[in-house]
Amino acid sequence: MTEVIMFYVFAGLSLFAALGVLLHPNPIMSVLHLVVAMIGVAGLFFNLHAPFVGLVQILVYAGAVIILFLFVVMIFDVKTEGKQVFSYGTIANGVKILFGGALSGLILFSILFEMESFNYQPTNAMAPQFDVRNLSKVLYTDYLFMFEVLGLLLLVIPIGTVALSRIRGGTHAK
Amino acid sequence: MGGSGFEILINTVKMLAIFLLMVQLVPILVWVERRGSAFIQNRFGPNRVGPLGLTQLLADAVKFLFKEEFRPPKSVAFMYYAAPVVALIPGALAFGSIPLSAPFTLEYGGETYSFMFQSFHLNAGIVFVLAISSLGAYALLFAGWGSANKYSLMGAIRASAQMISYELALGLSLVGILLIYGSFDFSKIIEAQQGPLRFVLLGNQIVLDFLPNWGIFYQPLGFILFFAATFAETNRAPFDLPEAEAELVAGYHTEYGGLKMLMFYIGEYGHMMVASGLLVTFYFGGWDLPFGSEFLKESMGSSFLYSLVMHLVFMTKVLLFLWVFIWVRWTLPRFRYDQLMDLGWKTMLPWALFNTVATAVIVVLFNSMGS
Amino acid sequence: MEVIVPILVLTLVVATFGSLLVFVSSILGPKKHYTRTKYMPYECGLPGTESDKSNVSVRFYLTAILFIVFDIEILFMYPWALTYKEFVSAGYGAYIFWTMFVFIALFLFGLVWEIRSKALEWD
Repeated sequence: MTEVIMFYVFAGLSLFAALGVLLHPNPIMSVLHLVVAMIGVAGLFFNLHAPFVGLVQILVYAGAVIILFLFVVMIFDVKTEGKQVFSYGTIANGVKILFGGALSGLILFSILFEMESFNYQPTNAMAPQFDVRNLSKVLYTDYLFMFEVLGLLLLVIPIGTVALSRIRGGTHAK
Repeated sequence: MGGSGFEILINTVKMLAIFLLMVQLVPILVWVERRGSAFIQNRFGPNRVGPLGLTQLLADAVKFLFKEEFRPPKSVAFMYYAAPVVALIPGALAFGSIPLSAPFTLEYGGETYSFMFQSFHLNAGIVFVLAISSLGAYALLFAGWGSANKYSLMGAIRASAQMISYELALGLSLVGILLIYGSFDFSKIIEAQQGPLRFVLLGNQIVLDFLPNWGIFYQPLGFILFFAATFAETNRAPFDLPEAEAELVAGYHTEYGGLKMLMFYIGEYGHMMVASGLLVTFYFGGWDLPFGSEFLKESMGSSFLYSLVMHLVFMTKVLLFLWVFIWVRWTLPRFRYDQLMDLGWKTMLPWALFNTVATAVIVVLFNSMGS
Repeated sequence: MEVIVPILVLTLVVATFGSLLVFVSSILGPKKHYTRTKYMPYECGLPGTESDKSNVSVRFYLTAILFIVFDIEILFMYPWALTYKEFVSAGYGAYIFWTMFVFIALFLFGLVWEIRSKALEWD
């Protein structure tokens, strides 16, 4: 019972915040709505008995990625450059509506016509117990190669960022 | 929150009591800070209102209540007012997840209930505290952006960049603790630190009766790194760059006054309490009283009284660390910003990596360390 | 997860407590008339010159992006550290050690590269 109530609380929270991200005219408020959306998603993970995943969600997204977003929004001068970046141009609006419409159409379609195949039952979906120990036993044995490749990928990101920031006349040039 | 009404009642009371404990400690700490700084700087400090100036804080609280309400007209009202509220939440949540004493049992209606001495118990306690503390940066960014003042904004961005930089060293220094205790659960980590120091070295069981089995003996380097990183996380001296008066006025709370300013202080002291609680939990045995825990446990069982005595032990250790926080603030000069970043990224992060690898090697050599 | 309920309740309690403090102080405080000087953003007593939303150094952006990457790498060490002893007592100590050693070597390479590239210099 608690889980069903909590599901609706967090699902509602994430949806409401996600709408806020899209609809708020001020980019900073958009980013802050994204934080709430992430916390809502983390709550959903908690509800699915995967607190570790939920907490990592908060730690990585709310605690790191969105702080980066905030810095980016603050680095842009919202009064002048911001207008160009966050403007509502014709083409940009068209693309937004196209993609937004396609996505919401897909979601609506699945909700309306594929409801039976989901067979969503909140109480049964909780059955498997998530355990970090099991994750570890799979991640560092069966998926070892993926894990090391991931290490390599994470090495590429900072190197790429620094290399890009050195291009003369680029967005991050000194 | 529990099955029966009795459980719900006790858990709610417990939660509120721990939150109030945290809020009530703040005025005492402010008094200790003011008197302590005066003592260190050869001054008197507040000594007029009440015995030793102790009731100064009551007077201050009343004064704060009746301060003029002021909001800079260009500020963003929602952010400006939300920032002090948001500043309270991470500290309170993180403090609620730390076990402040041994679990206790209560009997009611013929049934025995067992309670943890914390607001809520999470198996992934360490990750929870890290995740919640990482949200602390938002209060600063709210305040910085919301007050529409360049000093506030600069202070907030400096503070959040500093917090995220030291979060790396903080998180990495805890990997050593995880390697040794193999659990995210604070209670299990504390349980593993009971009794005298004992470990297995190359197949020989070694017991050192004169030392407690505390984490600091297994993780001395990790302790130093964690300790230094908590200073930066709490934005305390010598890492109090966000409030560098000479450069940034008062940093992110330049435009705040009265009770709203006080709430930032409650948040800061809350973070200090969480940091001290974590230091005690990971490196100083939690509520373990060396050479006395077992005797007390035998004589009192798992009664509420035993938990209360152990809670006093825990709080004594926490208060000692809080005093260290205050002592350091009034002893060391402030870093320069580039020095601060250099220390975090170029010194502490490599040493924390070294600590991780060294601990991993040592765990293989000692095999069943700490357990 | 039952634990989510007390967390939510405590969050609400703290938020209510905080909002109450803000609200009460706004009611009890004296209302004084405002002057133009009082309305100005604080600037050490001088008239304000720069815009309050002045640009932020790009170094903060670099710091944040490097933080994300290293933070994720550290998070991948947590499950490893949690089960390290179990692997060791099962006799796979060397395997699990070298697994992470490669990862940490990549981490360290990235860190050294960042330091040598002077991306972490603040001037």
